Amino acid sequence: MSAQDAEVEVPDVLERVKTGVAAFDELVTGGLPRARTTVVGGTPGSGKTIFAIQFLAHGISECSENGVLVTFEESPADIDSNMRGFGWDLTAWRKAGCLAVVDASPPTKDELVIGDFDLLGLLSRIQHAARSVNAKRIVLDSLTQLFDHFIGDPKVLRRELFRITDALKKADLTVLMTAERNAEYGEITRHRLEEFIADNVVILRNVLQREKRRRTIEVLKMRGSHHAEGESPFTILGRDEGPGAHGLVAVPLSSLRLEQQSSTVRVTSGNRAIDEMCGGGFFRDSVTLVSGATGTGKTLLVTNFLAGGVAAGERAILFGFEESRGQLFRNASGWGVDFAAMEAEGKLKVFCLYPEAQGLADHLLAIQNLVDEVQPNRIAIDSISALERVAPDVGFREFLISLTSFIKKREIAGLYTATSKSLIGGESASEQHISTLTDSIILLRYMQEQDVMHRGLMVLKMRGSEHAKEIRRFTIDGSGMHLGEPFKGAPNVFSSGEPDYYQR
Amino acid sequence: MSGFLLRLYIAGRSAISQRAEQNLFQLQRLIEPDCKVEIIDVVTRPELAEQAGILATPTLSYEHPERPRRVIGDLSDTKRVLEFLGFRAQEKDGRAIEPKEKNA
Repeated sequence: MSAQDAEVEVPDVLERVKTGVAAFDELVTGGLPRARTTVVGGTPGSGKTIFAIQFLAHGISECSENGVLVTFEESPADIDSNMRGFGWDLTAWRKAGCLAVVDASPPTKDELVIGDFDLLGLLSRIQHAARSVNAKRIVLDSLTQLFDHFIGDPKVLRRELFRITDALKKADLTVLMTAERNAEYGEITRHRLEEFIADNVVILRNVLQREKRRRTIEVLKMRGSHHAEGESPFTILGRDEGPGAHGLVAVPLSSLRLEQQSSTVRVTSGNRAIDEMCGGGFFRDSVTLVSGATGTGKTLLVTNFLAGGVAAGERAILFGFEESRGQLFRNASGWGVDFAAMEAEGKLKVFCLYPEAQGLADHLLAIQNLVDEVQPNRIAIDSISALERVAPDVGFREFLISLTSFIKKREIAGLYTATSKSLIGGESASEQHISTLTDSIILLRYMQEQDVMHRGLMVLKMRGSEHAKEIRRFTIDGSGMHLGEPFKGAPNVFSSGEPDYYQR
Repeated sequence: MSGFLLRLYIAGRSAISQRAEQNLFQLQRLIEPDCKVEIIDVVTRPELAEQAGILATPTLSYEHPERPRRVIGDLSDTKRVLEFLGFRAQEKDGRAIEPKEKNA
């Protein structure tokens, strides 16, 4: 083929090395390029060493690629014990011949630098270690410490580090190096290491934002290949913190492509009248938002949605962030729905969590793990706006995007509820976030008519389908929700305060 | 006492290695009492470099039982090396030790 004709064979596609942080590999189209160097920069405590060891761990346990760990900072024994919590046993790997460790932590001996020197001692040790286990992956942790060791000779260090990384690359080794940063934003790394040795630069951040820590990972540079831009949230999970992945777990944001297929299959909302208003029900892989003030019947709609699915032979899952299991079960039975029986049949799973119990990244992972475990056909979240308390602004938006695209990818019918802050009309900030992401929006509103307060329901948006435009009255009783006649001369459902028509 | 050991770790036959070796032999002549000198090439004996935890080359290691010391570099500044290692210099061949001129 054409590649063989070329004088110098240059692979047209860079081979990828998976890091073991699944969502990160997605950001960089499959993993780190083979035989390249990547600098992972971060402030102390940002998770650099964990990421680095995970890269080795994944190579050893998943890809049969052995590794070398060169440690300049912590002693090998310290790293070994620190990593046990993630289920990584460095000692066992060393005994099995999968891992070699080069201990380059600072010496206790007196030492003086007089005259010119090189770092060939270090290079020979690394090469020796790599040969001894037939390594494919090398971690240097952290370069900043090496620089500080030879603080008087930064020029020599630059030259020598370049020599080392060059030699390792030529031996087809994929190199991951960590480096310290002084601040979350600003200079990329101390000593500007990335400028001369890095093909790729990845930044780990640990930012304090409104009293909450927000960890993110960003691909700053990836020579010769495409990568997703911007920060993606991640979390650090120990082995004992649930099923699923552990170590550094990145949270997949909006995937690079909107690749989920749109289904034309309709599923019931659990209420025949609402199905009719939506032109035959929700789409199977769509996410619907139910927005309304407190007490307008959002949880009832959720209950109907779940019961309707179960009645149609589907499996359903509910995440409650406002009420306890007991309350949800009691509410449901008040509307003639028996959650307990559904759970006993294995048709329904109800999980209740306090929003503040963990960060949004952890919430998202918990939801994803449980969905993968239960394999439901429909999912309800009551309410999504309660989670906004945990991390406002960017974090919440990212969470929503991730969750929504996750639900759509799995072809699950989703229902979110959001509580509007004002009782009559008005939009909350969360609605603005959510409304553009969801396929359908149902508004529940208190409607004042003369001296009586009614409840009204309208379908505001139904992507890819006709829907009824009128605002329907509804009542709630012991058997659930009953839609009645449309309002005539209805007040403006979006403005708060005095309805327009009242002043006419 | 006699027979203490100076180990010089070098990397291959580079110019800097040869310079360090020559400087070491010069030092050896000046040191009283006599010392043994051992030269280890880390390229051919990486396992010895690993054992000793060598990062930089050349490294001169003074294997003192109580206070081991190391000098990194090509040992060109003979006077400072001797001072740091704590040796008295002898004028064996009648020449005084003169510190090398510092290069600008």
